[in-house]
Amino acid sequence: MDFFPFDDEYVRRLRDGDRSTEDHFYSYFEPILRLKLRGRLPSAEAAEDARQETYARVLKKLRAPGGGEIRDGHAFGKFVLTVCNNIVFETYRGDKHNEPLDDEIIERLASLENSEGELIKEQMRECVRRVISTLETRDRNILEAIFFKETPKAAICEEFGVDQGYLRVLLHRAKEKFRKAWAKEQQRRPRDRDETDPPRPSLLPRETVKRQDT
Amino acid sequence: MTHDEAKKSMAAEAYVLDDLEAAERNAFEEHFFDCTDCTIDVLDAATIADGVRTGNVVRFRGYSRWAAAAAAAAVAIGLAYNYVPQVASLWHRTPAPIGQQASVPAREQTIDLDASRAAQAPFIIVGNQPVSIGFVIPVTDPRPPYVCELRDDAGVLIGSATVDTKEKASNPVSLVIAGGKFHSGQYTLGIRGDREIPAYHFVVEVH
Repeated sequence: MDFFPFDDEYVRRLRDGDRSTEDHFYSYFEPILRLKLRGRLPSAEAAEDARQETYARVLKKLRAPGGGEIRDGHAFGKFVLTVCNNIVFETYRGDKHNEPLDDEIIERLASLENSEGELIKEQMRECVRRVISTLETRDRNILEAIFFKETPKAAICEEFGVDQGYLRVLLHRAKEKFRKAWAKEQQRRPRDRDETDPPRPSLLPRETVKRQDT
Repeated sequence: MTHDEAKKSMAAEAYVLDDLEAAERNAFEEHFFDCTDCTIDVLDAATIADGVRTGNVVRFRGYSRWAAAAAAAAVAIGLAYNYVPQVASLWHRTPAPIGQQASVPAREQTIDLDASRAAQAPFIIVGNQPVSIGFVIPVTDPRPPYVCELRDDAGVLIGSATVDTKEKASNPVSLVIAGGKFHSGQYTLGIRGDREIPAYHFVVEVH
């Protein structure tokens, strides 16, 4: 998945119910929200509820009479995360007031989760797992401990004999090695690829990525 | 937060590890949607996380209404199954009896693994179409995670899935393999977990 520059036009299309923009909105924020909510809520179900509630509230705010709350389309990403943060805080405080999701949102999410898009995502996951399996044991163990087993950080630090600050370094290195292995994997099998293969994610060696600083 | 500050403090990694204080997290979130590098850092982590933890079971909050729609669809499929045999063949999911070939020439092909029949007859599939492998993790009182890996007879990893909750481990698991990954030959689906679990062995014929 690539960097996406949000703007006023994007927000307008989303407000107007443009289908492809809505699909992009759901798909783009899915991994970001999953990552953000991971471990912050008591269960996977609560995290999934919060993700769906985020979609619903963002669209509701956007389509509220008067044009919604978003003044600057460039800040749309941050706006979505703020909505998500509020939902997490409400959950902590126990005053969550989720409203029933609109039928339309339920159907759209369902169609996205069950459509060809899901197959592509599964192919992407399969590629990720294949690449992870080629990494050195230590890097593989770090990624699995952090993302899969969700081992408490203290336990991971103890296992790898590092402090919490250095765990970031280990994660950073493991990610860099993953990126290189990913690029290698993609080069190794160019002729195997066809249109059913997963789209190229942002997983490129760092030197090929242009930085847009703020 | 500037990009240099984010890089220096490894904020993307700290964000993923949930190491940031609320104010730092807000500052980083404020920054990262405007910064290609940091967005990519976070998205890469999200992609890896999604790949490592598979089999997301999506449950919709408006379940009753969605379930009603799904039930209606199931009824429609059931009717199609009864009255339109050629459509039914596309949805056929039951493995053929032992000794018969299990032909699954559907757009979404399914191989249902069953230890009693798997070694007996090859599954015939169309090579360039995705295949869904259905199986159960044959344990009582599952203690996830279970890593399920499908390998060909040369030991090459064809696909894998991780079952990370007790609920998922108690239900049939589906491993989707992209089109073109299979060749004719023997395959082994191994399951690694908290105890020794016998592997599934089966034969595929690609047409």
